[in-house]
Amino acid sequence: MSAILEISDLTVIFPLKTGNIHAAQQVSIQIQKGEIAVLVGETGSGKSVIGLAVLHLLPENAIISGSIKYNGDEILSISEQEYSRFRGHEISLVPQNPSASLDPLMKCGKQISESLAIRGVPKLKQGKEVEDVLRNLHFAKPNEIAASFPHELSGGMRQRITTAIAVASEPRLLVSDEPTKGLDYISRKTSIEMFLHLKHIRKDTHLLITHDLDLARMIGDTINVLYSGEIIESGPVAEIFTHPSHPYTAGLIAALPRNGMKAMPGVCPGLSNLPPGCYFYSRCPYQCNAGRTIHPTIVNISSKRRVRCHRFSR
Amino acid sequence: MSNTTVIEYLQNVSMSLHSSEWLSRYKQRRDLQIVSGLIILLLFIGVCAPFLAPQNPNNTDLDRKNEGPSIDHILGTDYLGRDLLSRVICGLQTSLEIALLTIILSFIIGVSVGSLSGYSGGWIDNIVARVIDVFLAFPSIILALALMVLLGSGITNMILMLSVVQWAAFARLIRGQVLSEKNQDYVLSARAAAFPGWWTMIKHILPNCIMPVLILATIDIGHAILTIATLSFLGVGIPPAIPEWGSMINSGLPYMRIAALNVIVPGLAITYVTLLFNIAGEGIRDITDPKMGHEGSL
Amino acid sequence: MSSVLQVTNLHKTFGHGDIFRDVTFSVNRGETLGLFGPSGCGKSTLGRCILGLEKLTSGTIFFQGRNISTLRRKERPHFQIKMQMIFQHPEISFDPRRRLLYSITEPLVFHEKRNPDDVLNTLMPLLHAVGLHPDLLSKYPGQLSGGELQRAMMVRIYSLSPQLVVADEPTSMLDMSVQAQILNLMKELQENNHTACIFISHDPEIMQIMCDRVGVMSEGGCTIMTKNEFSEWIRPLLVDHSK
Repeated sequence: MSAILEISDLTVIFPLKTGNIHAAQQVSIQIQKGEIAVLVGETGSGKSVIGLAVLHLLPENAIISGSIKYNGDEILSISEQEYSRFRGHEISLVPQNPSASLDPLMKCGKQISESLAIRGVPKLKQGKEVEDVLRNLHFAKPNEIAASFPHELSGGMRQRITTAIAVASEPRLLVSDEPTKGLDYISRKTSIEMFLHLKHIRKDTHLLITHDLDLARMIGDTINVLYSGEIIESGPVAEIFTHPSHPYTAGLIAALPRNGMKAMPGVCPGLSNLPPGCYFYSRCPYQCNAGRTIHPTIVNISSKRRVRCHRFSR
Repeated sequence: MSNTTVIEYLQNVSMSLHSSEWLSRYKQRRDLQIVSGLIILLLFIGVCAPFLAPQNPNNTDLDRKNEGPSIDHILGTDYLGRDLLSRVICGLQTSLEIALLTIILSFIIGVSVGSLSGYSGGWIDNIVARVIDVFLAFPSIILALALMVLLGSGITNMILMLSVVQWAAFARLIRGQVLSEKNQDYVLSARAAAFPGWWTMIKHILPNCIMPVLILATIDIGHAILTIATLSFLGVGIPPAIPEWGSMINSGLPYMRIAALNVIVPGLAITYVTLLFNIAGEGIRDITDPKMGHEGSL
Repeated sequence: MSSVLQVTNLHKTFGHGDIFRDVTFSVNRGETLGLFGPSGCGKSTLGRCILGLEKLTSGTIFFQGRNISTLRRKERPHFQIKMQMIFQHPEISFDPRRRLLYSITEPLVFHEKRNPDDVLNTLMPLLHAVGLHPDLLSKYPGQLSGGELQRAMMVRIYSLSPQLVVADEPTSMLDMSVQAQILNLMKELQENNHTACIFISHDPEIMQIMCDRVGVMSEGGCTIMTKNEFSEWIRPLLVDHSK
């Protein structure tokens, strides 16, 4: 019952001259304390938009409806000033592009200290705490790393630094935006191990936005699969990966190189041009009659699993 | 519509390549519409100057020296009794003619040299870059003065010599653009397709780099007019028979107290035209690539 | 000799160090050789050097039996068009100011002196094979998705009937499902045309599925392994799925 984050019926529309873009449609997600909830989706699925909504970073002319409650408090419709007491302090972001997110002229240790200062850690203690944080993130020589500049470190290491900055402020909700994007296999492996380690020692509540299925599977507790702005399947990670219900989820898993790289035909519909029935209909191997004209609603197929597919509707 | 548009929208990136985009941005900018209208008007006056001038600018009338505004001399007369308004209008033609020809010539030289140098790379580029640096290191007025003394006065000489002063700025700008553009994947793709260098340069590299240079050229028209006025103020360059704002100020100075308009009007004209071209140049930049404006001035 | 490409002792320095040295391998018709390594190991640079897009410090390259390192300028284009590259960033692989129709027909328009519509007719089967809708040809690169652009790039490249295609991380910027589509498409085109392929990537799982042999690059050297040897070698470096 202690939902740290409760997203209810979140709808985000971007009005463009050429047509409205329905980036997110009535998305509802609940994240319990200590849970790692993963948002999985491809480009245009709406996952980034949801992350931006939680972080209060949507552009001004976005048309937003629904609600997001953090610890019971509404945060979607509040002002920027009211939100600022959460950002960086209680709600932290691990951003997507570490090289662009770090100040190139400031030593890494100092950038982490800034985070500590937000929490009110006195200057004298900051050095030791920076060391602890870095050690927790699998850095063998924390002092050397703290004294380095971002450009002296590899891509994977920079990603761990941005994670350090995010966790140093002891947030209650961590939001990660595609943390392994663009990393090579070595950096990706260390990043995944780092997140796994963090999961065991810190038990943060974590909203992880990614299209890296390995990362999702290794550290996620629950997974929400997004397609063209909607959740089409959600439930515990292990179950969904071994027995996906929705054909898109199954298709994503089958498209992985280690599973034979079977491609799904077609592309997802553009967000300004959504078809009347099931959004996945044109690519679906089943193509049920209802899917052509009737848009499926999301239903519970067990106490923990939901899916949006006519094959499961009663 | 492609899925990339959501991300584009969120990052406020504008596609600055398509003329329809440029047109819609232009339509939103009232100030730029006014400026472009004024420039067209200016060019019109410049071309038709001899017909628009109420009187012959060189008609002296020593009985009516340094008069104030009157019915047949709307702005008054200068120290030789010549109609000020006519001289100002014809001065515009002189300035525009010299400035435009200068900019066109220096643009052609600068872009050719700079782009060839940038694309070649290696020792050729090293040498040319140093040559450009030398030219840029000279204060332009001093260089212009020295060259005028060497070549003698006259409009053709002035155009040639101002181009010599001006080309280096274009060369440096286009060279920098070409240096960065030639490593882009699409240029590598052109090389892989075995297109010769000249084809790649003309069809791909230059069209993608030329806009900042065009903007610089527009702004430099204003600077050229200022330089021309400065030189003729200093008594160098334009033969005295041809009306030119700078020399008008020079000759009007001794009579400032009794016929101030002879100094003020040409001065305002110089300021106004220079400013107009500056704004036009920045306007072109805003319309064709708004992002450029945030990276600092050209 | 059925090897399309034979490189011997390729060496490139960068002033203070070697990017790669003593690189020797050959690639046969229809075969895919992988170049594998972490970022910064020089695999992309090696790919570009082979195609002549960057300069080698030393070494010889035999392509279609000719020593192309010693070609005269006039002869070069004839061989150049038979070795092509697919790039990592599809959005900048095309001239951003040109519509797609121009970009995909340009090679044949230039080399065979034909007009674009004529070339387009010739390319229709290829467009169909890659799944690119002709309507997309009137758009600019910035208006298309990564997957659409890589398909267009394949049309442009295969219009020249290349013998060797170097793919430099062609799908690392693409979504997973699009990646599967594009890689399958690449394999299909390669098989139909018997093209030799050098596939550059840092993703070990893609390597295993796409390549016949793999050249592992590390510390400036390049070790050629068979598929099985590579699978063995890479195992400890893979993400461990047993939670």
